[in-house]
Amino acid sequence: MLERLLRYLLGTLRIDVTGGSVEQFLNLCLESEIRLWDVRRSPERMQATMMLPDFFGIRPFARASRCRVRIRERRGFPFAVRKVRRRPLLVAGAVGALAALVWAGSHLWVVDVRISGPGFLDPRAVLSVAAEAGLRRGAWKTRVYADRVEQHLRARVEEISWAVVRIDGTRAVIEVVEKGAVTPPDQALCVHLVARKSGVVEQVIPFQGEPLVKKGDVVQAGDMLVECALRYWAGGRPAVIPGMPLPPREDLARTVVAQATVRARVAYQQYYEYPLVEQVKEPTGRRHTQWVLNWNGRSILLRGRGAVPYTEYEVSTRTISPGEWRNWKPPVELVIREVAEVTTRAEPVPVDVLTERARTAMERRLAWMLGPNDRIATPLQARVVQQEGGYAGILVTVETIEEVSSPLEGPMTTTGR
Amino acid sequence: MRQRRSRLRERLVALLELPGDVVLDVPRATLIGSAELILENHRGLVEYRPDRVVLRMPDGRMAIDGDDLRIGYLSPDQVVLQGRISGLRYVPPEGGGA
Repeated sequence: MLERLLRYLLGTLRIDVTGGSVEQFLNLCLESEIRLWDVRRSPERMQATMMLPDFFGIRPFARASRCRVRIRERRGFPFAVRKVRRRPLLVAGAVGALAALVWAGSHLWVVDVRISGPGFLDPRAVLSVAAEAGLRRGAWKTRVYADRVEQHLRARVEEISWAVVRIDGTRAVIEVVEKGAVTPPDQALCVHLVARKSGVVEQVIPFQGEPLVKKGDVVQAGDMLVECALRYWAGGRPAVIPGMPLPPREDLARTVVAQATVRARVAYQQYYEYPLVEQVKEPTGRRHTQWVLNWNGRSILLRGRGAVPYTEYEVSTRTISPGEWRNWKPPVELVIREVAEVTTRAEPVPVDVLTERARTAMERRLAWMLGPNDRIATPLQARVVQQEGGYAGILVTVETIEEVSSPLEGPMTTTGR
Repeated sequence: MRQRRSRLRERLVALLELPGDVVLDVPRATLIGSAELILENHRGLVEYRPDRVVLRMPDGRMAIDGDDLRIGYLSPDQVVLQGRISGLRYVPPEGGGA
């Protein structure tokens, strides 16, 4: 493919060779490294194709072999340019048509709005809000950022619960989901709150339901914290006896969806293991660059040797693509591979560095595990528990105070306290 | 003397299990059906007719017979011959046919 392209760019000639010794002519061409192809012989003449630059050097060979060389056909870019030069308006027309096509294909001509939901939302309102974010008919595609339009739609239109913008050629599709009416939970529904983690209860604030735990209780994961029941004393509130707690309310009024804040002190233990000696890679400064042209699924090495001359190396790759147009992606891209030679050095790591590393890892884990109102109760404690076989085992402990309740739909299992 | 050196080289190639066409200065011919012959390491053309092509080799000549023979590609180290190939004959420098 590359050779064909080169032939086209440099130009080729189909020549007729008559008289003299054709074999001698061919051998003289070979000695001068002139390549020929599609060589055909008939009793009176020989035809061959050659590159245009080579043609200027064959005159001495024709003379030496007493052959006569005539050009039969000219092909390639240099001859095409010569033809086209005589027709400037044709070139201008082609360039203009191409520019118009690119210009037309770089704009959005249709903006569709698809709404799912109850149907209260007006598509025109969605279009006007999308236009504020740059998505309108006739807009340049490169200036429309789908994610920004989506964010703007969600921020400006309260009735939208979800929005997505797709750009497909010269058409943009805005899909929105309207907020639906919220169905109140079934009053007969029974939803308990159970513990999702084990810990010591620190705080219980019930909003709805019957709390079964109090501050200081130890709960295991799965234990019921708040029961989905509203209870009362059927015989009226009992008399208060100083120093004595009130008897439990045993009669069920109705089941509810339990709602409460139950915060507990939860202890975490995490074991980390790190090697005491690390392999550190250092660049030697020697670099090797490869330019690979990917063309229609084939890779052509343009610069640099195929095999990497280093035993240890790191590769960084950069891809240069001519860009996309509509849904068409050009089948060519240039990949530049920078290969840097490295040497590996064994470096002992101090234990306190590893301890700090374990502590940071635990902090990262807690950062995504804890909710916005949860907090770390005690500082993270990291200690080395074992140090053998080239590895250090580090145990990190920490206590948090966090919300531990989790809803669990279920039947009434208790009949009162 | 030259023959002895050549034999020694052949033995060495066999002993070290090296590819003969790379180490020894010999031609390599690849025949694809009877339609195409790819010949590497040639030394030029001796005769070219539509029914017969004779090529010079490092150690002799190679004659290819056939019909409508044309050279698909000709470079200093490779010849691609196309057409209806009917015979391939190797002629060593002494004149004995192969």
